[in-house]
Amino acid sequence: MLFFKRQWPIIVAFSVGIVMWARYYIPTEQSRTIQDVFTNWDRIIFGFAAALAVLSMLHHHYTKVRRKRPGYAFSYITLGSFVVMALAGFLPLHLPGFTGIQRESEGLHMWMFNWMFVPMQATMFSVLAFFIASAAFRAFRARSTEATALLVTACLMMIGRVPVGEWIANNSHHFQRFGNEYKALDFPALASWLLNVPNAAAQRGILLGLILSYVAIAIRIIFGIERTYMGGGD
Amino acid sequence: MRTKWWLVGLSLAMALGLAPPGPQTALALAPYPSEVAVFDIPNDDGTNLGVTWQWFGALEPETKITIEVEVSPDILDQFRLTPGEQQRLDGARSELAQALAPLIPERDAAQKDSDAANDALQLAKANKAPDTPALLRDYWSKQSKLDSLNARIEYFRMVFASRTRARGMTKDLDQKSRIFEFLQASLAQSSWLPTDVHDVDPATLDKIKDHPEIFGQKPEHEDWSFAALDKMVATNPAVIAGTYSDKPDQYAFTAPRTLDVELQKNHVYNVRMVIQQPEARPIIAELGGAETRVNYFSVSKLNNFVFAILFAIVILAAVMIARRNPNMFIRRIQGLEAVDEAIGRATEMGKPVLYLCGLDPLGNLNTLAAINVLGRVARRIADYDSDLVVPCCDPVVLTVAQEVVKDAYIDRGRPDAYREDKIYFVTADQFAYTAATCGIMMREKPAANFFMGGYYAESLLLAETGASTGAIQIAGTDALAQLPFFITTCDYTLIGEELFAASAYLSREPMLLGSLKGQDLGKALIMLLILVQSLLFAAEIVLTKLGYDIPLDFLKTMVHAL
Repeated sequence: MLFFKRQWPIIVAFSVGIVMWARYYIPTEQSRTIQDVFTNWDRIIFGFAAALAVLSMLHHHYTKVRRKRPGYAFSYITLGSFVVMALAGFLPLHLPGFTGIQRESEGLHMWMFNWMFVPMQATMFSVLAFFIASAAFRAFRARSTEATALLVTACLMMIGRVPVGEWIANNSHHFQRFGNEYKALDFPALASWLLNVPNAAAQRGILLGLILSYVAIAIRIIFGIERTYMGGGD
Repeated sequence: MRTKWWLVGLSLAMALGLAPPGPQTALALAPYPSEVAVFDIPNDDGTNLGVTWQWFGALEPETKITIEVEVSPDILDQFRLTPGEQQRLDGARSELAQALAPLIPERDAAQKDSDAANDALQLAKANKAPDTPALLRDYWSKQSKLDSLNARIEYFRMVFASRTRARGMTKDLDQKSRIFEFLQASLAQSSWLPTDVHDVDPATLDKIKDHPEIFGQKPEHEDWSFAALDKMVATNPAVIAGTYSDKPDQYAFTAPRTLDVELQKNHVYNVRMVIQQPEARPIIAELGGAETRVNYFSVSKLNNFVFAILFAIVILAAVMIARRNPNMFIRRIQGLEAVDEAIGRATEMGKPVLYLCGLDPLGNLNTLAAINVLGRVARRIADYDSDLVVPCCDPVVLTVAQEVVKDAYIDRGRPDAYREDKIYFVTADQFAYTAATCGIMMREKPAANFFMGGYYAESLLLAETGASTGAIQIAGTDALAQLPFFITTCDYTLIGEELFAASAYLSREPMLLGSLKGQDLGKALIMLLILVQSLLFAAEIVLTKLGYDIPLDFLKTMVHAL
């Protein structure tokens, strides 16, 4: 049994890793078939895992309600919503006021999805605007040299990205240098420079490290050097 | 000069309608493909041909082109059924027809009933008639009957397909026989069959520069047109005979007007282009021929392959060195040094530690890295006897996270402390997951929050809510767009590659640390190449300005290839 717990997953990870890596370079039909087979297996595993996940969710909320843990009222709502949505999706319900059946757009299930779920999603997303404001307020306090640099850069960027920045640039002093015309307070150009030069340089540096990390972690997993994700670890 | 006058004369004759009727051989004065190359695409499975050309002469608006391939009749042999296969197909067809005979008329009648009921329902809805619910129930019952009949027909068709499909075959016998019939009829008309580049506007075709995987990053003649051919179009014999009907046959199958047939592997095809200008006769240009060869290695990925091998060798060598010399220096990563502090604080306060693995599925490397860090963090939590809460948004991640945490507790001799209901599935929806997790933060007030893995728009919502509860927050992600949000709201942020180094750093295992060293060596090599390339470009500019003409192109190409 220990073999199936320790060695077997490493053998599988190594074999599948090598096959999928080689497959990337081989353009034949067989290579595509292998990819399709693994994709199908992935879907099948996801299907079973989804069933386990639903059970896990129900178990968690049921336990919370049974033990009356803090906030258990929300678990009632979750369980109730789950049952109602599932019944509306699976059963051929027809309720007064809803002129569609099952999953039709005028049916109860899609009505709840379109007019309850989607607005709630949109609400969560729109809260982001307020969170950006509060995070910016905290981040832009000039507590250190780096924070001050961040504050100044952010202010320049904001001015460069709003119409008033354009207006200031157009109404500032224009001068000729090296055969080109420049504006004294050209905030949009400064904002573009900040984005395209220092910001792009930093991002590319991070990206380079990331890509090498992807390859390195893939090699660690394929060769069984990294095994934590299988459980057991060291 | 004589040729030129001859061409002008012939084109004038064409313009006046004096030229012979039917397709013409192409004229150099007309819009015409020149510098044509027909070739096997070097990184495909042997079913593609490529054609490149430039236009000689301006194209009229609304010009359409069709690229055709010449097909020899011996191609039919590949689709000809053996007597055994024919017998098997006939048997299966006969059984299918027998099974469907009573069902098809019933289904047609049910379709009519359902359509009529739907019309009545729509009318009642529009008029807000009081009998709408009754009509709805009527429509629903008729539609259910229709669905049931369609399902039964589909079942019999599936049985038929399984009976006519042999092991290892990509096409069933029914399809193979149809391809044979279509090809035979089409070839009886003409040996030139249109391809998937059929009646297209030449302006919409790709250019050479759109396909770096075939022509490289800096191709010559990058604005020349390119078309990839992988299918020929065979026409239904009934369409050719003028007897085509789109009604389903006795097998409940609607025969298509045409069928796309893949170009056959290792086969030589002659290619020609038919240029159809508005209100003019089609011009035919012979383009040449090429063989569709099966390629067993994608040449365009050679540099990638070489780099992967070299990098793997460097990493494995570094791992071997690390086994002999375990005391390797790894720079301090503040975010990971703070892991103990965060867990210690949670233990002292008697509050749980919240760990999120991100929104990406397990197939993404960032999620695997997050799971690896979870394993290390869970060990520390088991040592400190603190609580760990892991709400997941992906079913597969949930299953793996449960196993990893369970094994971490067992590894530390604390299997009794592991509680499966603390690692649970919330939902797979992004904002529902965010709302639930923010709720957990507000209710349970975890003392430490870990955000590892892939995040999207929800990153700030999560981290800002966590910050408002006063928790120590450690984030790690490879999502560049989310890094500023985490840096703003979290106490420590693992930027990009630090997330992937975290597991090795926390474990202090020599082999894992060795792989980090190998990764750094690879990075140093790439930085060196970037530096050399930058210097070469700068040197070329300076030397050119000083009047020296030193060709550095070869060196630049070498470094670029590396």
